[in-house]
Amino acid sequence: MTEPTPFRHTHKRVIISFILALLAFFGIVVLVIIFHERDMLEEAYKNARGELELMGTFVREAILRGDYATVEQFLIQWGQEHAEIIDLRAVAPNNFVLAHYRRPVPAKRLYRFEQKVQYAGRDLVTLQMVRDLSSVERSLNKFILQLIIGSIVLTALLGVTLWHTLKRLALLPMEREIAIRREAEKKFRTILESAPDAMVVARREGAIALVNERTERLFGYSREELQGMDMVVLLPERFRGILKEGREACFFRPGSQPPGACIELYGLTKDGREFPIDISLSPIETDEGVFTLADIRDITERKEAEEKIKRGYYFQSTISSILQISLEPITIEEQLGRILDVILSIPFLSLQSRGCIFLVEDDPQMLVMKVQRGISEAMKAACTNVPLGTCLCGLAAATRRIILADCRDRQHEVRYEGMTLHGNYCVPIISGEKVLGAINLFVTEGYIPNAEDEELLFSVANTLAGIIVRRKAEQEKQRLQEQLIQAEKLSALGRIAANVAHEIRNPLTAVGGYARRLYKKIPEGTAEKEDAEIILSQVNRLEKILKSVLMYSRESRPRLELQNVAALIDESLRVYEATCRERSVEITKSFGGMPPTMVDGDQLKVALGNLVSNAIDAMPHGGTLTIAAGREIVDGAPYLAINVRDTGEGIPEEKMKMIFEPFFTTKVLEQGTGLGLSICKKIVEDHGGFIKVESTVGRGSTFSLYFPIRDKA
Amino acid sequence: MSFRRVSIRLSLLLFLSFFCIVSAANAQAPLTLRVHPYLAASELVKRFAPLADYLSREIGRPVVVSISKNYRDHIDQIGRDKADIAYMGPVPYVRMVEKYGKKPLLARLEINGAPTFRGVIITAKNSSVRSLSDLKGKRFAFGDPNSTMSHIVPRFLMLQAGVTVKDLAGHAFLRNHSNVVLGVLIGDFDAGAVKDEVFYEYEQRGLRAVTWTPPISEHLFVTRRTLPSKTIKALRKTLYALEHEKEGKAIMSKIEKNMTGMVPARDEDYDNLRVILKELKRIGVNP
Repeated sequence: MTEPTPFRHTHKRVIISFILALLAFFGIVVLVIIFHERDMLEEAYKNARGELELMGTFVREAILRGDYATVEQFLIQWGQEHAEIIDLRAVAPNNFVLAHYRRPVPAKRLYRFEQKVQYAGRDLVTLQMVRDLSSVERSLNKFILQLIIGSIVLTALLGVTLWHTLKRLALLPMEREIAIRREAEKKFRTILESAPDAMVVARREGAIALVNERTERLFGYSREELQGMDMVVLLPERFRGILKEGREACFFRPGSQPPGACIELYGLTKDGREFPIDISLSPIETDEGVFTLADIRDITERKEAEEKIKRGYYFQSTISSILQISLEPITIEEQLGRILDVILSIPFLSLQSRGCIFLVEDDPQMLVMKVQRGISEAMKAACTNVPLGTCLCGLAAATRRIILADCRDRQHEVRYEGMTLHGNYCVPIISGEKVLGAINLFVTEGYIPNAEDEELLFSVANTLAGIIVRRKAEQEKQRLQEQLIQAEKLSALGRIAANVAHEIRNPLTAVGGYARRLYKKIPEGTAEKEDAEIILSQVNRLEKILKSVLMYSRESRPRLELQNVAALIDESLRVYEATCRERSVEITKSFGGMPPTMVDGDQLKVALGNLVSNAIDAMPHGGTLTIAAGREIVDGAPYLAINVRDTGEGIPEEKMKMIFEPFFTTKVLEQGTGLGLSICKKIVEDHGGFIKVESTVGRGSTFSLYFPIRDKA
Repeated sequence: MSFRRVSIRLSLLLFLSFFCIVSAANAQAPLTLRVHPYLAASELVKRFAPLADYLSREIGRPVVVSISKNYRDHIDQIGRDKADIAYMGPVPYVRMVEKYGKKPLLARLEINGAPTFRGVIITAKNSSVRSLSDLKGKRFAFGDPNSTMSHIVPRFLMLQAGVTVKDLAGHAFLRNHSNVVLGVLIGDFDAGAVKDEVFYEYEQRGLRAVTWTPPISEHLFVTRRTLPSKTIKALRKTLYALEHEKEGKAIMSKIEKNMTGMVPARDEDYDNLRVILKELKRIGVNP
């Protein structure tokens, strides 16, 4: 099971031993043949000697008979008749060669034989014979060849027969068995491979024998690497003991055993990453012993899902708490304070229970700390007002994205003495394009950022933004309602005033006419003349007031035309140049790029005249009158802004609210109608713009007129 | 087999002669060529058949080879004119003439250019035998008792030198010349007697001549007295001409290895042998 093809090996072994046995058999046969060959060669020698003996008998008789010549004839004839005899001679004791036969053939395998022919103890002659046994050898070799071929054939036949028998009796059943087992093994492998979990088969002592593809993917090891390694490498050091115990337990108490049932286990990948796992161990019995089958499941996703659910729950509860708080009839500050408490209590955010919420109030470029929890005094002092783009909170608000700076992050700006290193989240509160504020939360050291946390904070910020917007909308609504009431009041008053003015104008004209006539008739230097003069001036004043009232109250639409605003400003200022010189007021003009703008030129001149007049009046002891004009973007829309700045005494805060009220004036009674600024406001608002004032007591005031820059249409 | 071949030849000759009778009308009985049995009969037929063929072709009359039963019979047959042509050794010829009178001689053999041959007393090269008198107390080898040069003539020489067989340590008849030579060479005998031809053949292997015999006329062909002289003349002419014939050498070497021709023979050519035989007979040696 562990080795890829153990059965093949067995088979091979059978074949090899079979072949070896056959070879041994063949070897024995060949040996027998060779020994037999040697015997036969020996036989040939013996024959040759016998032959020589026979010749000796003849030669002896011939010599004893004195028939020497016969010996020669006999030997020659014998030699001729025996092809293998190369040389045959009879040598006398005195070395005389009695007879000599020689076959003229090239020598091959020569064997010498010698035979002494004796009679009654006397050496008659010595027979010497040289035989060429190559023919014998050749024929023997031929015979050997035949024998060996025969034995090869025999061995082959025997082998084939035995093999067939072996196959039928043993191998085929074995192969069937093997096939069944292989099939089973294949199935096992398929199951193993298709398992969704990492499956590790290990020996009892822990050496890994088999893993599936999922294991490779999960742990990053290759199959070959894991082979033979101890199973415990798949777990971090701290869990290895548990695994070993579990493995032992699994052998003693069979059945699926999860080691460390109450412990959250982690797996360890090749590159050292840990991930949550579940392990169940079960023993499997095989031919090769008992193995442990470890089923390792990657439960990262489950854990994550659990985490998500938990988060979702906290998220929901946080948002609903926040919404609930927003519905309570308490001040925004109180609401923000409680919302901050809710945020700080989100358990998994790793927050330090410290933080604050900034809001953008009147100044759109400034974050104002509205509520805080656990913030040091020094920081409170330093961070009460944070300009947009400054420090992390400002940066977050300005860039409209969440900024996370950990404890050692260099992004921190040292804003106050004794600032300790801290890590925090700065979450902008945004509604549409508009920055409403920022949430600043202190995170614990070692906090690892993640998208979910940011998402949550972003949602919280959005919810907060919604609340703030709603709050603001409510406030706005309230303000508008107040304004509407005021306007209606004013409107009614205006109508009354207009009617009164209208009714008064004719009698006043008559009064004026008669007064002038009287004045002309009264001689100079008389008291009457002086009285008449007063009447005339008062009538003039009344006429002026009437004119203003009529102007203020008249329902008039501005006649918009493309105008060169700079020229209009210059024209307006010209009227006041003399006055300025008198009062030693210096006029400074600064015009930015101004495109021709659709305005009612006359109305603009009236409004500007009023502002300039007010400014000059605010500087009875001289000063600088600055007229600045240019293009300006407010809340995403282009405006033509005309600023009139004086260096006068300024407007105290308590009067600030009243300045645009009709008939409110700071001027001595004779000098103002109390309608100037109201008219200005009316003109600008009739154009769809607005008026703004900034003032510092003792320093001066700046009035700004904002006319929307429209397209020609 | 040889007989069969002979008979085939004979029948062929008969067949041819039958044609001759029909065509030439000189049909005659075949002539016999008689040879003494100094070798196996078949061997002898083989050796003499070419000559017979040659003769019959040349004289236009069939000649057949016939082998005598033994030496005595050979002599008797020739003596009684029973053989047409007969081949004889010098000693039998002398004996035959002594018993039956002269016969017409056809030719005698010429060996190595000489119509005579000699015998020689031989000893081993390193032997102490220097003269015939040294033979006393030595072992001596003779060939056949009837052999001219391996017994008769040398025995005569030894007798003349005063050496009888009793003076020898021992003697033996080894039947032929080769045995004598080999017996001496091998050391079984201290000396022996052979004809010159055999001596020359073995001289290089360690022989030394002690004494030479006088030359004796060679073997000869005789004929019967009753044969027409025309035929005798034709036969003589044919035999003398043999050495000039194309196939002559082959025919001659069959009969005797070193034979070079046939020359005329006279009875007187054998007189010295006749004297030797008479002398030996006188002292009781009658081989």
